[in-house]
Amino acid sequence: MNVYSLYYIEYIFITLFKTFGYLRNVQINNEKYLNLGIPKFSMTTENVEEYIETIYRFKEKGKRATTTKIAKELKVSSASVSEMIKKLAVKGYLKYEPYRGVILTKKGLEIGKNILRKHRIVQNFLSSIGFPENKVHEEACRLEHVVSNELENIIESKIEQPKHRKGILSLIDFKDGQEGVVKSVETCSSTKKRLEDLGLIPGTKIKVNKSAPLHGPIEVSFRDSKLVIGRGMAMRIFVKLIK
Amino acid sequence: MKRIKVALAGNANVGKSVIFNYLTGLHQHIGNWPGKTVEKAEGTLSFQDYTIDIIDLPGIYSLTTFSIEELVSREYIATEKPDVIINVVDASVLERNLFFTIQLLEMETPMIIALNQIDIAKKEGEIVDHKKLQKILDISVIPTIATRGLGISDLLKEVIKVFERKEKPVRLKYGKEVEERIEKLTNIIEKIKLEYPARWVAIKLLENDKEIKKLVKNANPKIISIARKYSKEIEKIHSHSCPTAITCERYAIAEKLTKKALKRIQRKPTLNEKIDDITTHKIFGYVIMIGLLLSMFYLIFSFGNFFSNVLTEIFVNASIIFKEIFGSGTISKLIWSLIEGAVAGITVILPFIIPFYLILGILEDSGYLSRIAFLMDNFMHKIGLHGKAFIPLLLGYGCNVPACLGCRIMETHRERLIAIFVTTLIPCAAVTTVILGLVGKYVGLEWAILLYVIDLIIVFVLGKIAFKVLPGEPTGLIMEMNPYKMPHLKTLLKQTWFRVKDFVYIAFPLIILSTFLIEVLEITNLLDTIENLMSPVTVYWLGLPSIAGILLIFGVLRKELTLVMLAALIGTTNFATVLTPVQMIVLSLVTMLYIPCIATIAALIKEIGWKKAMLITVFKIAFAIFVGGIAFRLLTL
Repeated sequence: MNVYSLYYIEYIFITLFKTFGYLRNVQINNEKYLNLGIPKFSMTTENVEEYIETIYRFKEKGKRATTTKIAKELKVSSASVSEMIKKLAVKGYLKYEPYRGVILTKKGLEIGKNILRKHRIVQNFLSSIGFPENKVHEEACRLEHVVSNELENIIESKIEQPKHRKGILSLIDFKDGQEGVVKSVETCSSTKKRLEDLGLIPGTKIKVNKSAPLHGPIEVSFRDSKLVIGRGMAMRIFVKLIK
Repeated sequence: MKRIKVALAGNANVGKSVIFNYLTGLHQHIGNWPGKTVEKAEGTLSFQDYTIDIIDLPGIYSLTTFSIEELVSREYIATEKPDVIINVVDASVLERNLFFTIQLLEMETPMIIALNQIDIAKKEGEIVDHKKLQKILDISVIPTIATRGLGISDLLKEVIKVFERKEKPVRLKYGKEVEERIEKLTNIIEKIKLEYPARWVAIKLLENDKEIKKLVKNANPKIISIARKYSKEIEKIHSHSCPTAITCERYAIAEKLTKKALKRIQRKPTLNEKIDDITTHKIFGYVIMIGLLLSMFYLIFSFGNFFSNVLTEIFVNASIIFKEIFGSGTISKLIWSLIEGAVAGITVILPFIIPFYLILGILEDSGYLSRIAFLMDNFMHKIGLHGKAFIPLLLGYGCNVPACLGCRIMETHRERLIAIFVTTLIPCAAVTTVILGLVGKYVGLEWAILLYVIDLIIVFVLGKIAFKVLPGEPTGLIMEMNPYKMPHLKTLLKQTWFRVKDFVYIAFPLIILSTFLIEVLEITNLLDTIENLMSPVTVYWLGLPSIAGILLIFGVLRKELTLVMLAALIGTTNFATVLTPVQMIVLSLVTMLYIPCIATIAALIKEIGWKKAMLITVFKIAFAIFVGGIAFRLLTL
């Protein structure tokens, strides 16, 4: 076996992994594959934006963004995160401070805010047209980088955006024991119907009882009954916090 | 004698099947709805001068098209037109149950309510005034405690009263804006002939129901556009989508009813809730779960083994007697093979299936199954399933047959199919015998463990692929967490009895037939021919000795037969004399993966139909040969 066929096998494996949703943010050394005459793996603005968005999310939640946490979130190795962070720091998007983790500069913050907004709007849009719920996040991750500001504004004006109003949280952001009033259910249509039939409609009083460990499902109670809801679904149920 | 057709309808877990069992006793028949894998329970009883046929509709929350169960139920009510519906209502979750009651009333069939579990409701501090409820709804409401048989005979008396009066229930009115449009739409729909009541069709159109839309479109496509216009108007008024608006309206009615009929009193946390907290605890929950599941396994298999051995002993003696009487000629051999098939079923499968059904029933009825699903949901997502699939998967390590049947706890067809497919990839106890007896004994335990690890990887990868490839929307976990309940023994036993009976009818003919066929092959010396025919695959691709062909054929009957037949064919149990270590590994690997055994195939056919069962079987054969060949080449590099 010559070195090229090995590269070829490697390439096939990477493609396979990528289609299964792994290695999404791994930077791949394209030079190796140049002689094979196959499409390149891109490492472009998309990747940069994805990193900044992730860091921004941490900031929004008030958590420290460390290399390991970012690596976990993006499903990549810590080493590649460190490398990327160095590159982004050189470009002036962020800086790394010991004990405080990664901090976005003004430039970085702007991009982060923008891209997260696009992500949420696209995600909302996809849910509302009945895109399969478990793929919405992934699809939004892809689309957010190509949606123009103009399209973003149009989508936003067409679609209800209750979660940007004050005090409205996704169900997964509730702590055990907190109560609220359901504002909207934005899952795909058949799941939405089922939740509504069970009594989870706008205006329903709901309480989060507990959640299973390791990002498991959430148990809520409303209308005298207890219901367990998978986390993917709970993410798209928006509730106004009252207690 | 007059005949009355009665349907039991209600949410899941409201004690419907307990009432059904009280009413029908052993005069019941459990089968499937034609063409669907939804259980259909029917029964008959005599009361006063009447013969009452009762059908237990599946437990559902609504009459939409979300699940097969809901479709089956509403089609039954519309087309079979039961004389009376008994709506079983759980008093402890009144509002949500009444939401379903409102929908049933819209089907415009004479109806009464069995207000069940009033004891549980009381414990939870909820007291329901059934007389008030009866007055507002204008249908009879009978309080019952089904687990103790209270109120059942009142229920029957009321059924007869309602049957003789033949009264249709009153119409509950929606909010003004919605009601107006429903009425206008109803007037138009009354002009076309449909099996469903016109007002119900009108509401369903506003709810954007696909099936009903199709029906109406065939009759008069203009109605669809009128309905669309109305739903746009409702959307504007309500600022929600029209289906959501209708659901909200129904809940508003249910809320109002509940407010009038239900009184709440203060109470302390019950023992039940404390047990619930412990069994879903972040650490103790898992400890308890593992402990319970292990003891469950131990129980099923020690019980199964014991009875299996006792029964085998009896039948071995019987075979000796049989041979003494009838000699060992060809015909006697053939007849014996027929008996042997049935015997194999009784001695090897039943001793495991019966305790399995019982224990699964206890887990399900007590409510513990939901706790397991809660704890394991996250883990199961990794192979494209959700928490409920954990149980059948785990049981697959014991026997694939009950595991396949256990996949019924998955709600949608898609989830059921993935769960069943993944389950057939789990090595059952018989396969474990082969792996340990060959690889574990002669090659090394680490290789045997490696085989299990490889199998887990295969489960993971194929499960994930099935998840991506299968059409339809994946559904996440939506599951009711009911308070723990003492399972009702009689219901449990009857349920187990009918399920076992059902299984025997399907699996036994296949087992008997295939045992007979193999005996015929053996007598006519066709086995050698088959051995030769299979040799390109077994010898050249898999690198096995040619007798492997015969072994694999016998393995279809029961997986451990590959090992038993090998010993019989070479005349020794020292397998190292005929097989190299590599051959042992490959043979075990292929046995583990190649085909579900005949009983599992029967279970597959029962659950997912001929076509899909065959598809899985063929896929698994091809996949096993593929993997086996690769393993052979890798190991002999």
